[in-house]
Amino acid sequence: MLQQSPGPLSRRTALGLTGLAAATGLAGCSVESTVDSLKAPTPSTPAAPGNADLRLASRVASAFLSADDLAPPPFTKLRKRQLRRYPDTKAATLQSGKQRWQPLEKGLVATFEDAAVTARDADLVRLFASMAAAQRQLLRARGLA
Amino acid sequence: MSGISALQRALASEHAAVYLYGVLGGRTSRGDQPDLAASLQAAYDDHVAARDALVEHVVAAGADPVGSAAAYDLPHGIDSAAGVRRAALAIERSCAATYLDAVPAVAGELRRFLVTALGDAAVRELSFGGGPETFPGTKG
Repeated sequence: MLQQSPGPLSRRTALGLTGLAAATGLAGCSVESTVDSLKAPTPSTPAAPGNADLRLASRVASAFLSADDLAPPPFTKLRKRQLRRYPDTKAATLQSGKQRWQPLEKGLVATFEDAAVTARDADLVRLFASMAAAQRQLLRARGLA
Repeated sequence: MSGISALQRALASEHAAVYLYGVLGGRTSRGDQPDLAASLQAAYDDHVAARDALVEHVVAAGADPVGSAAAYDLPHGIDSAAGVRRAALAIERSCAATYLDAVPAVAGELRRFLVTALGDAAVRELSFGGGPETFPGTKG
């Protein structure tokens, strides 16, 4: 399906995702500059375009922050570089770290790819797409894919 | 950038990659550089497949696929194995950048195709001396 790129986000996440894309170095990628304070829509009101992306970003953050508990340094360092201005993750739901780290890291590829396909904001789409590619690169470099 | 435009730009990038990998492969000895030759052949095959898939997507979208140029400028320094690796790495980085730029312009499975193509290019970079990056497809 073809589409025009949607407009920028207009709300700020309550989860503190303001630095999610701003620090990434992606061309024109700045959630910081485009996101304003979040107000949840009333149940009878269709979600504002930005809200779906913010929920998505929260779910993705939960996934990779959970993986950090078990991941070896190359993976945690990658995410640290990617999210070094990620200011507040306290609202993200972290999963119990009882799995092996390899499946978690491999699973993040699909998590990022799915997020890139689902996101509406063009900057977030690029962010997730590039994170998926970075994850694939690192897995391959370490002989895991 | 419209969806059609994004696909056409990706297709143009793949046309160039196919051409250039053909040249690079022709300058690489399978006997002297078997690993490099194998990587070049694999990359060539991948780009042919991506080009053909993009042609199908463009046609399916109702447009005429952009054609390849008669020739492309060759990178400098490809008279050595190191130069060939550098050129191949540059091709992959260029393709990755093109795909990353194109991704938001389309949706659904077509977007997934471009996301996968971006990742494929990023992984191929490793075959030509590239290392893991923080944000493949960007200069960051």
